[in-house]
Amino acid sequence: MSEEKREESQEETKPQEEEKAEAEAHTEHGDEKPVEDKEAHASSSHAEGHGPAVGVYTAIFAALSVFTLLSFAFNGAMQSGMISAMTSFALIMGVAVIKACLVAIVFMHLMFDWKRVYFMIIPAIVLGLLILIVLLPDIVLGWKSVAAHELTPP
Amino acid sequence: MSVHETKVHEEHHELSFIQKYIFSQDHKIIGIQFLFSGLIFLVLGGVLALLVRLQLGWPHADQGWLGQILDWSPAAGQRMSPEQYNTFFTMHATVMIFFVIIPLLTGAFGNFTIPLMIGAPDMAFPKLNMMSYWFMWPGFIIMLLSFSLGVAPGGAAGAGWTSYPTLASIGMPVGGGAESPAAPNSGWGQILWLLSLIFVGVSSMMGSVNYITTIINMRAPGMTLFRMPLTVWGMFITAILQAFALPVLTVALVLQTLDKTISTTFFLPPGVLEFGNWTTNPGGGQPILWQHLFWFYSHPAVYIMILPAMGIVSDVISTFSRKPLFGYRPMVYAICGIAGLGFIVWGHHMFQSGMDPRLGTGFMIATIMIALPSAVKTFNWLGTTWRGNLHLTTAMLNALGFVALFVIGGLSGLFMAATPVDVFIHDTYFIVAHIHYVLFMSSLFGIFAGIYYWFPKMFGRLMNETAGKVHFFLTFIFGNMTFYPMHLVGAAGLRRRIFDPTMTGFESNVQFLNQFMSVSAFLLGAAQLIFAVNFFYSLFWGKEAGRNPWRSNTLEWTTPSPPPHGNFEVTPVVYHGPYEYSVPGMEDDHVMQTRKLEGVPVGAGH
Amino acid sequence: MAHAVQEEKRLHMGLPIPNGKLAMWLFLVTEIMFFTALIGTYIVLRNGQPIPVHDLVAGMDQDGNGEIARSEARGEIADLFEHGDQDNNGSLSEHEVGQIASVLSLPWPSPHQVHLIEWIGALNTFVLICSSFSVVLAHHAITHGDVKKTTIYITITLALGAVFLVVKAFEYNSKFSHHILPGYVFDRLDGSRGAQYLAKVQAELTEIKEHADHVSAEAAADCDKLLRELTAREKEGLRSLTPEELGLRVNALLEKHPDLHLTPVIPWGNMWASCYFAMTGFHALHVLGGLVVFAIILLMAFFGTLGAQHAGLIELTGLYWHFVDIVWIFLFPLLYLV
Repeated sequence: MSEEKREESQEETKPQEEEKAEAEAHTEHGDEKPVEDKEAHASSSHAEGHGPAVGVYTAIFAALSVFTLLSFAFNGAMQSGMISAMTSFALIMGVAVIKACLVAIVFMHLMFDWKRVYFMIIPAIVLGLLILIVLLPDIVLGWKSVAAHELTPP
Repeated sequence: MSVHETKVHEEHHELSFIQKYIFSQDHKIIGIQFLFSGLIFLVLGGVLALLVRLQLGWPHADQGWLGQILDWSPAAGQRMSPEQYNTFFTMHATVMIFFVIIPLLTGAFGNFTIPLMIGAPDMAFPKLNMMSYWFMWPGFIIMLLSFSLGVAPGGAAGAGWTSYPTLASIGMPVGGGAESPAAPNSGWGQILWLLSLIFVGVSSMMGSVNYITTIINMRAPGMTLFRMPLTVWGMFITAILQAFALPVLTVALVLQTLDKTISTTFFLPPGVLEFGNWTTNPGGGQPILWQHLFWFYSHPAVYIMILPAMGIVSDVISTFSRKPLFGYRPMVYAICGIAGLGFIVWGHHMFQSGMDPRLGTGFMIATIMIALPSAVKTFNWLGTTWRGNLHLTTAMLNALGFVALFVIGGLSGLFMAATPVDVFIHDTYFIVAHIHYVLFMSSLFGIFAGIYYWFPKMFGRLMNETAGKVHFFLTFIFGNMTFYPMHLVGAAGLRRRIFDPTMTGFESNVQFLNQFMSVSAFLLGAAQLIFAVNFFYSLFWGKEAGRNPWRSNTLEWTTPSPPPHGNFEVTPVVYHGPYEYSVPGMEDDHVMQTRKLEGVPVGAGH
Repeated sequence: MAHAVQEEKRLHMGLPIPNGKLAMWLFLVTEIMFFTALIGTYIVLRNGQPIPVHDLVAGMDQDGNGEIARSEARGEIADLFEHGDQDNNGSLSEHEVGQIASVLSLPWPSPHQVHLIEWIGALNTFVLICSSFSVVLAHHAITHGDVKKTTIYITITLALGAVFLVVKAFEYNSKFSHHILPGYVFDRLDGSRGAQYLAKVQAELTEIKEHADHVSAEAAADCDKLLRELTAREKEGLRSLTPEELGLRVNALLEKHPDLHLTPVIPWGNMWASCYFAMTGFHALHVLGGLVVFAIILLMAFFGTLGAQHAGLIELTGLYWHFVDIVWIFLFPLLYLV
């Protein structure tokens, strides 16, 4: 049984060699080829050995805390008139994006897993931004749809 | 070896009846459960459609005994009320889309075929799979309950399956209960509709995560992505569409539920709407926001309802033409292209909504581009049959019917895609004709093709071919007689969703066509009885099928019919693509995917 | 079957990650879409609000709707914005009027108006970041086989998550006690809402008058003045206060004495409350779901079944928990800061 299988799997590699070049040229997903033993093992065990050290986690934690304070400070600066509302908006959202990236890359182990899950995350981000961008022009509808007499200010 | 294996199975899986057939975790049983519940709801959706046709054909006639059964008031000539009519067409669409087509295509065929066709023993997460089926049931029950006047006093939802605000969203002021001031059947009926769809959405989401994981990670050795049958490709892309689009619909449904229950105003405009003594809740949302969120899901949902059918049809046509599928890779890229474009075209449902007109142009261009991959697929199907050794089995006839009618449905879609034309035909029967050609005449023929094709694998018996062919021809003829005239009356200006189609002169002029369509619809409904009888007769007394009755190549045909728990006696090893029919120099005209070929050229790229 | 499984591992066709992790990432992808749609809704509704009030006041005389009394009242408000309240012996200073006008002209309530305290939001952000840190340490511990440490870290995470929910509960409670709930906020005063507002404020002023010992003398005097104005103007031959005028005065009173139990006018307050509760509510539900999983893990530890074989479970839970953290990282600035 096992001999038969081995023979089969040796044969197996032949058509794949042919396929490889073509697959690499066309594929979007990059997971065409059967994974070799080594790779599969390495991946299943990466969680055990290769995780970042506690020191890295602590540094990221400290950075996240500082960034939270920073966004708070930007808000304070805006309220006291030091920076414009637009600037503070950009700064605060920029800080939020950086924080999210730090959490995703280090805490969620994307530094290891990115090449295995990027094909899900990139479309999600693209579609998320797409729906936001397409909704934005409709903000104008809010202004148009209310005639002055319909709206009573307090 | 195989004897030993079987023994192990028996020891491992001594399951009670309930574990085996009701709360089953076996993908095949779950698929068959989806099949049966889908077919039952097909009956309900069909009856609702016939009621709608009854009203449209004879809007002023006394309905006699039918009116007595359905408790229609004698004072109104034993006819349905306008509210009931709204409920019927709303629920017809809802049931057909969410409880019939999607569960049948993704639930039934997805569950049944994916593990078998990729050579996996089961889904990646069998328990999740079971939950995905049983999460449908709260949805089913809530939707059925909403028909009961005791539960929803105004009747089941009647704001159209698109459930547009403001009609659907209006709620009472704080503390005023859940009734709607706008229409009796957009009170409790609407709330139940929303809840039901939230359940269905959660169920589909579980299913899609499971399908994607299974297809990516559970393939048999040698089954590269580009050796998967197109059915699996269709399911794969469909699952991806669901995973990305459904959450957005869920948000929309939840927000509308909040609008109707706790007085938020996400989808109600800032200006106060007044209904007699009622005014809407204070606040200021945007009705068009609902349309954006809704169509962001529901346009991809259109492809969710057609891509698996396209996959099934590709497999069936290639098998029964005894020829390799013409252009396998272009077919795959076309599916991906349709799916990708499907996400950026939702605005073509909203040309008339008053959204920013600059968006309209972009949506129009993207929509017309979808014609390209669709045409690639159509030409490739035709190329596959070209000079093939056609076996006109029932499954093949249904698949060819799909191709023919998808072309008509696709061409009428082009009219809607062009903004200036759409402005004229939007909200007329032209659009009703289009959706029925695509959804009924295409998707349902795809489903029938799939049922006739995999019935032997599901139940171990063949369906009766003669009855099947009669069913196909009657469905084809009456279907066209029912839906083709809708193009004509639509172009003549008949509005959709109206209670009385003889309200205006130009609409009365085409009333004879309405009656013709109604008669055809009843005949179409009656023709489905042949299918029902054939289905149940073959279930018990059909001819034994054997492993591979169609002499097909894909992995599911290497298993016994029906396949045992765990599917394959030995994990299959795949050597080439799924469509190696009539390979030159071979004694047999088909080469199973598990069969190694030596010194014989196989199709390019496989 | 045993053979088959081995063979499959040897020639695994898919991605080199376990099924569970792949499915968890897919689930997170659906969650990304879910929260993007919610946040998109918020952005559109927030920025889609009609033009600021002072522009509106300027354009209001031309609405030609024939409601003379109303347009007169609006003219007065416009005057008020420009010159202060001459009519009322200058009880509002120019500065105060300017302040109120600037607040009222906001197209969206400021955190201050809806009793949202920025530092509490920041505190909650910090709490979630801490919990993210502790869950990642728990994963680190379990990969090194240290079940005891894992249990401690998971307990800390559970506690921090609970702290987050408690803080949130206090915040919700404050919204309930101030009636900042969808449908309850007086954000527009036309139609029947105006009459309701007049009646409500009159009742509240009467209440304050009856229990004058609960408030400072100055506040009581101001309230009394407003109440007399509300009820006695007719006797002096003046037309009664419009709801809009009353709203302006109440808002001014509350600027002066924030503790008074009076109903303010908050433009777009209902929309704000709707968005706030929808977004934070769904986030809180996700936190709650995470806490349930942590509780199950702790139960496993309690019964001694937790071991190194559960590294995958803790990693997946961690992924989910970090995602919940990321959502809050965006919700916090969107709701509390910008």
